[in-house]
Amino acid sequence: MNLFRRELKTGLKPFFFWSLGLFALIFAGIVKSSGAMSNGAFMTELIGRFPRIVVAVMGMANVDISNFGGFYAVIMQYAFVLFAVYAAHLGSAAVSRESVDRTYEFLFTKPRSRSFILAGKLLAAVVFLTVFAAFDLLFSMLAVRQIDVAGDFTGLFARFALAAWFIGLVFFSLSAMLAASFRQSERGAKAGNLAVLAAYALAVVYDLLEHPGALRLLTPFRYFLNAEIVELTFNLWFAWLSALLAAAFFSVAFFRFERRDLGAL
Amino acid sequence: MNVFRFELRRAWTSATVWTLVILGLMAGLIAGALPVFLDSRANVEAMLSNFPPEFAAAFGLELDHIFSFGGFYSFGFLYYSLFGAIMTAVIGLDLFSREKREKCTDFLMSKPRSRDGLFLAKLLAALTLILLSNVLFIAESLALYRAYAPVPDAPARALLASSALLFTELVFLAIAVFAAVFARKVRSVSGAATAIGFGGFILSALQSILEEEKLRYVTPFKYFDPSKAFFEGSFDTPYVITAVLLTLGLLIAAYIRYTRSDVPAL
Repeated sequence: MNLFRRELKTGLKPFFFWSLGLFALIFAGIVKSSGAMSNGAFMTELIGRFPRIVVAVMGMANVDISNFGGFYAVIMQYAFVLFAVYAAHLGSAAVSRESVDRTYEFLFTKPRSRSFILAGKLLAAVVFLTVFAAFDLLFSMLAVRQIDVAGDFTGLFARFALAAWFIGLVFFSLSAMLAASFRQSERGAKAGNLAVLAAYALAVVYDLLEHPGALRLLTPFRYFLNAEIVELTFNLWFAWLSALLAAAFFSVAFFRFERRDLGAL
Repeated sequence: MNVFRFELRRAWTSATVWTLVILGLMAGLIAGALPVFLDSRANVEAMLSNFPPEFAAAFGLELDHIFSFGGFYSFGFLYYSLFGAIMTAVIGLDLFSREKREKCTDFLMSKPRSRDGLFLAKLLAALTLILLSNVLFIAESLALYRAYAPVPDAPARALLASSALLFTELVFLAIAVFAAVFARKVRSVSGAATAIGFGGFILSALQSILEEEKLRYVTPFKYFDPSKAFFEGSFDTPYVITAVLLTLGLLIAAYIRYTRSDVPAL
């Protein structure tokens, strides 16, 4: 419990800055949306005429910015990236922070098992990730009040926030596993960040293929498709897949962390 | 000279990998998609004729710009900038936080070298890597321009447009150096670099969607617009001034801090 409380305290400052970023993205995106939506039908039709590869590179594949839901989905694509990068940071920090700060000798000589300590750290990070998703929902609801758009979007916002949480969870557990698997903490952090970048690149490839098929399994950024979320569904299959992946990554992380050499490298 | 050589030796591998990624991406995009893209013009024109004439008039003028080598080049530029920004942020953060991370600042500072000299040697090493990377990028851009542009008659403009990446990267170098020198602790170079790179990427995307002019002043990816360079032979002056002031301001602040700050015992 001491550990958990301490972890919440040390994580608060980065969390504050990441929330500020999320706030800026959502507010700027939603408050200024009317201008971009005014000729949205025209733009959507126009984009449809361009070759797939150009549309994918512009990040405008499978979107319809003629209505608010579709426009919000575009903003959320970038929020997903924010979630992924933050989650990768949380995962590698939970595993490697004591090594980087050279405080591991102090902490790991306490009468607690390594798994207990890691569990406390990961739990605190999950709390941050969850509050981050709650903030996403909150900011969206506050921002949409600033503009003149009819309808209740709470459900839409909640589905997107939930999707963002699951995407974050996958990257969080993955980077925790990678951080536990490398002896040098910087290598682990690098692998986690490269995974985010590679997944984003795969998401662009997914967009530019006519029949991507199984590629969807490889990139968490496409587990929850805009079109599905906008049309009132939440893809439970991929929510289960995310949870399963997270469970697998966490088990490997614990397994490796119990057995690894601790050091300041 | 020792510091310069040491830093180059430590940092060149990752810079090389990033450069190869950028070069490969650009070659793939232009060789693979530019011909298809140019062919799709008829399709877009057909659609425009179904819309009210004022739409077509407003947009039709831009068709010549969009469906050209320069138009296509600037679509991909978002990604070259993303990778370039991450590469530069890695270089800047890595070089300038090395002693802080490895807790050996006192070791370096007690050598008979002035702090100015150390700062300049590190900066020079970073600039060397970035310049070399961009020489390759510009050379490849010009070669692709000659090979794939329908009418490659303005190589000077292509040169200016492809140097946009270098200028953008210099802004990011200043940001990274500033962050490395002012941060109390740099726990992970790649984590901070990814955050900086994707931060620029998200801002740029947001600015493109919203088309808000004021937002462009805080969007480094948009300070140097390659499509503008292609079609008018220049960048937008107000943003160039912003970029220069930002870069110099951050570097000078970092320089002052680096040469005057106290060195912690551990």
